[in-house]
Amino acid sequence: MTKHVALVEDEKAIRENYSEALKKQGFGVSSYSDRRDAIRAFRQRLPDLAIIDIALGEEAEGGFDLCRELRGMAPALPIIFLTARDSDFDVISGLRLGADDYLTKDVSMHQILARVAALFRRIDALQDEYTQSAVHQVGDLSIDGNCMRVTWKDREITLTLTEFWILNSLARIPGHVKNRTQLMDDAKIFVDDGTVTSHVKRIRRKFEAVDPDFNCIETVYGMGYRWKK
Amino acid sequence: MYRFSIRAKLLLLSLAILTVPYVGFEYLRELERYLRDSLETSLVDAARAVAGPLQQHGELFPVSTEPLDKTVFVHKLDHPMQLDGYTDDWYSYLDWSTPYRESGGNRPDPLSYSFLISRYQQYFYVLLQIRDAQLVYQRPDTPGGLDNDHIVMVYTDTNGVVQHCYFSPSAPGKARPFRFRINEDEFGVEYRAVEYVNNISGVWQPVEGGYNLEIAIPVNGIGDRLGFIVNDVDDAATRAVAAAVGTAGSGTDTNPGRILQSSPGIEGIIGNMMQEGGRRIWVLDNRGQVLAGQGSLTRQVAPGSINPLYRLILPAIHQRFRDDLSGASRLQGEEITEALAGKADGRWRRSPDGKAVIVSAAAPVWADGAVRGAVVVEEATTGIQMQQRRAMATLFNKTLLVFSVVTVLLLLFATRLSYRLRKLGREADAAIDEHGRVTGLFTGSSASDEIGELSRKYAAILERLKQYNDYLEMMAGRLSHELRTPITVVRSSLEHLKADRTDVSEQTYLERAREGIERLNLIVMRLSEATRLEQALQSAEKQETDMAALLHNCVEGYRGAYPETAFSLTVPGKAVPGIVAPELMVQMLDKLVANAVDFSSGERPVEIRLQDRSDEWILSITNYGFLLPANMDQQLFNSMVSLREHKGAEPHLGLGLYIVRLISEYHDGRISARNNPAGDGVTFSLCFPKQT
Repeated sequence: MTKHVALVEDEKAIRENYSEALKKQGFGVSSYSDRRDAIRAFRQRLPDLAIIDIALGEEAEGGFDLCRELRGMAPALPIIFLTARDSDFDVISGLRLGADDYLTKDVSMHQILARVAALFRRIDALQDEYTQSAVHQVGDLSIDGNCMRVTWKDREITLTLTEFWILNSLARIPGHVKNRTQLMDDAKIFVDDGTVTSHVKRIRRKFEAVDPDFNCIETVYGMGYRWKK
Repeated sequence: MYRFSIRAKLLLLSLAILTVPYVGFEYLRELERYLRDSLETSLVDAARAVAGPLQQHGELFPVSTEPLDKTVFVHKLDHPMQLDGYTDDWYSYLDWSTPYRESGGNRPDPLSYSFLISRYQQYFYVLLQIRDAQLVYQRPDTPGGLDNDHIVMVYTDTNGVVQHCYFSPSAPGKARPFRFRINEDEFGVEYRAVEYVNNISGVWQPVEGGYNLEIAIPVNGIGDRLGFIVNDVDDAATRAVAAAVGTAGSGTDTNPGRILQSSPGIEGIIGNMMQEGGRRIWVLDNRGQVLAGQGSLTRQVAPGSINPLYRLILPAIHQRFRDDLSGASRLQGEEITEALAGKADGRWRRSPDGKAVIVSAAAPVWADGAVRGAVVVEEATTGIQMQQRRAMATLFNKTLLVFSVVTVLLLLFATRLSYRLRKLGREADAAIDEHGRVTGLFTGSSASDEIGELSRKYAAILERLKQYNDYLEMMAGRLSHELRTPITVVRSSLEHLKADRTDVSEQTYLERAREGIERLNLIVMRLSEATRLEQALQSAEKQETDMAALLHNCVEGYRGAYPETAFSLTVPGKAVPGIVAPELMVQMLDKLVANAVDFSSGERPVEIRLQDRSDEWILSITNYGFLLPANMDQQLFNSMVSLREHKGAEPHLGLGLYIVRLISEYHDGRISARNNPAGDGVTFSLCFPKQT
């Protein structure tokens, strides 16, 4: 069955380039240039995954509103945010919109495609009861590689895809220092060091929200990060 | 250069007020001239007024044809004198006294005295005030002895025979006069007998610097001539008469002056006319001989009311002054000559001691078609001076008051003005930091004057400058944001092309284009780094961190990241606690080290040093090699300033050190970049306080 991806992006050239790339990968793509068109279409038929630009035409944060409406309609639908601004990351995180990932527009196509594929894989894994779970246990942390689910002391931590990949990279070999470049590679992003720092900070914050004494992600100044045993 | 403040300038200006007293002074002099003129006029009028009634009594003006003679002018007293040798009861008559002094000779203590004769009813009262430093009295038990200080009274008796009478006391007090009578003893031998004169009495009273002799003589006891000879004996051993001065000169002994008394008839006429003080009136006959005189130049003036300060500044007013005419029996002068020639006239003269100016006016007395005499009225200008003095004191007082008020007002005004200007200066100074950034805006003053306007203009300028600065600082962020979309378009399009095409040459071009776009993307990321950092600073949390350990870790990392560069790290042996946001510190260190590595010649290691002071810690990073150009040490930390001359592999936008500055400022640190004294490299120093 062809997976259906909805792309909401006001910049025509990007929209068409992206939808073309997605089509090449065998996805069914419907693209919309503004929020109203998108929501009208979503009411008729829900896509399997949505890629939403935050700034939509006149509406600087139209993407957020769209996300909220879409979440209301389909709580489990994977949503990826695209943004031109780094600062939006904190907004997305702070609003707890339930986005599955967010990316700046300067990422390459294959990074987007990797995410789309990963998210579909996860949906498949969740839907298939017989999928073998690939749970990796590190102390109180357990990571389910297929479902991309993380629990800390048996409580679920909701991470975005990028955050999951970073955490997975760190926790895979506890005590081993991962530098920022390695983390970027594992998270399939190419950004500068500062972005990794803020991602790690957000991961910590999410753990601390569940367990205020959480201190397993250690900064090794000048080198990188490691998961403390 | 000496700073001449506004306050000093305004105070200097206020000195202009001090010209007011000068103008006032000139005005007062004018006033004085006017007063003198009017005084002269009024004196001439007074003289005419006195002369008027006298013209009805031509018989009172005898036409004398006798040659001019020595005279003694007798004043009229209005009360009897107490014979005590003291001058208290003579007070208002003293200025009628006539001075005499020893002529020639150069003795150290020359003889001088003043002589005054007056009449009350049937007595003449004589006052002699002798200045004599050495008083020599008559030896005891030598009646008639004359080898001491003594005074000879020469007079004509009622028969016109010249008589001598001696005052030669042996002690102060009552001095009995005596005369010598030539007697014959029983053998017919002539001898000189001392005979006391009982109707003449005198009191001899020593005073400071001399002695007084006060004498009372019955009017009918003497004839029409009278004179005195004062004999001075200074040496008590030799007892020789050192000097003798007579009231009628050297001829006193045989020909004393004629007694001249105020004409009762004339006095009867003028007696009531001169009641006010300070004026003196003379009536003269046609030869200038005094017929009557009345009044005194001395005027009692209340000295009070004038500040003692002004007495120091202004010339003193002398109520007592020497008067050359007092006691005179014959007056001379232009105005008298004019008056005797038939024309009223006035004259100014200075008193002999220069202490006062006397105005005199003379008017002729006509009778039977000829000038029979003259009336002279005199007044000293003490009154005018007094008025002038008061006016001047008032003027000075008021000027001083105005000056003080104006000065205080100007001082207050100037102080306020310079305070406001200095405040404005300070605010303007504080509004822009050493890097040229607008750190704070000040609210313009609400004052409506020029300074208020200046302040508001300053505020407006700063506002605009800040907006411009903000624009510049935000430009990098905005630019990166705006550039991202087109980059994405290009990149995604390139990716499609790359996937579609298989031609090798096309692939080469596509690869170049991709490299270009990656590079462009990197630039955009760098541009937004500062903006992202500013956001990060808002959420950063400081925690106590051991800077020594942090540096250790970091330097380990740098050794891996820059394998071609050597690093040397010097830290204190113990932990250096810093209250910092460690990620930011590392980011800052990354930038500084990257900078140091780029500018290092590679021959010597990059030195990283941490110093622990009592209240601060200092981080310094030294690289050897390229030097900083002069005058760039502070600009270096501004946004978009780059000194790199050589092109590296990565783009440089001059944001690295700007980020260093932002982080250092966030930690209240001070940052500086200096060439080493040896000129072999550059040291960046950062100073952070321990308490934040």
